[in-house]
Amino acid sequence: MTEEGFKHLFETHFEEIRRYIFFRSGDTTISSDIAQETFMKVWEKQLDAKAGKDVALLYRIAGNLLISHFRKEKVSKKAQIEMRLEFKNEDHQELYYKELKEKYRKALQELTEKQRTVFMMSRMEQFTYNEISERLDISVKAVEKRMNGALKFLRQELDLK
Amino acid sequence: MSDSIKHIKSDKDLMDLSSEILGRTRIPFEKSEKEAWKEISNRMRSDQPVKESKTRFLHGSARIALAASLAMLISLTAFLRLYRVTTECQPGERLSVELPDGSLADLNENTQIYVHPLWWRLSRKVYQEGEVFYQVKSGKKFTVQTAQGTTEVLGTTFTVLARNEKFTVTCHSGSVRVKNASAKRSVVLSPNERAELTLRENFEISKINVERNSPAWENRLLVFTSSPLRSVFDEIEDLFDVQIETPGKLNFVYTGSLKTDQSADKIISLICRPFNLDYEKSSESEYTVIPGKGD
Repeated sequence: MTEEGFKHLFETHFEEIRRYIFFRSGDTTISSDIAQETFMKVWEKQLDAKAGKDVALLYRIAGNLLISHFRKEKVSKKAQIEMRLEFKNEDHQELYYKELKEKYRKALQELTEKQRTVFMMSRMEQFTYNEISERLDISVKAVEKRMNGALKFLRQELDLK
Repeated sequence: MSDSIKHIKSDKDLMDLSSEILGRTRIPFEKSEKEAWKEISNRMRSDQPVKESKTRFLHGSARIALAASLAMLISLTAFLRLYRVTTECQPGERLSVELPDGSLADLNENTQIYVHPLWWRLSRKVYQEGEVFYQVKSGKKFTVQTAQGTTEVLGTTFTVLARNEKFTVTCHSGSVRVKNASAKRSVVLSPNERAELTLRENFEISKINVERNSPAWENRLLVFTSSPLRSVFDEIEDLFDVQIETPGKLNFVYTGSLKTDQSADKIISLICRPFNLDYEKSSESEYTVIPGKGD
């Protein structure tokens, strides 16, 4: 892989990978580190991750790095995570909307890692189910299942009937 | 809670709400994509040599040291293995050679042997051409390699003759295993047995009389030059442990050489014939020489 090709790969997918790790871990520092680590690995091993086709490889490397990070730090994945999200243009929002967002943020934290990851990839990244299934190397059915689980939980948490 | 939530009825509405909220959300990453790239490209440069060292077995100097010590080891082994000492015995000479472990090799004339003295501890092996009598200290396998075949012993005395096409092995004591060059045929010899390699690559075993601790050739020839006949018979008496009676006057002198690896009868008759003498055998070890009847 040339340096240019690698740079292109980085520019296309770095943010996406970094957010993916954030969806899973809720930790911005770890997300940046692991996303960088992922690309370093691709470069060192000269893995041929062609933009588009083999993005799943990036996701897999990043996911594995996250798991080995958890293992090394002896941090349980099940430990309560804190999603640090900032909302833009908050000053113009009405109070109820602010409250809703806070509630929403807490609900996201309560989701299982798998449900949250799929849900946020769908809602925040605007990926289609197909794109998610390609990236995470799972079936579309599994994506749907996780989405439904997330929706059901959110509905309950947000007191929506 | 509020109207905007209350009108959410379906999953679709919830999804839209989620998109709306998350669309207005940003994740507060500490570094920008540009900074992340800068760090990575720095590491790409500084990591280049490090990356190589990951697959490298050892660092520079250690590598050279390893290669050098390997080369030393190989050349030392090769030296130990290949260093050889050759002993040559010219025609008309006899030589006694002490091998590295104290075994003795008596070389007959026109013979050459070599050994690898530094490798001796690992394999006692003598390469030979000609005729050699060995007195082997007991120990590990002792091998005599010749072009015609191999002789293996543990600790014995034996003679190997390998000259031109001829190959015979004589066992003086202990036991000896003889193999031909292709190692397809082998025989085990007991003391006083001689194996001779025939043209058809078979071993022919014959019984012969040999001294336990001296080379076979040492008493193979009796040489007499103008010796009184009586002294010739005295020699024969000693050699074969027999009694030879001779008539009172026996004024003959004998010149000739006799092979001793034949029977006493044969030798006595060979001595007698030119003088027109005959002999009678009165018992197993008693002979009487009498004037011949012929002429």
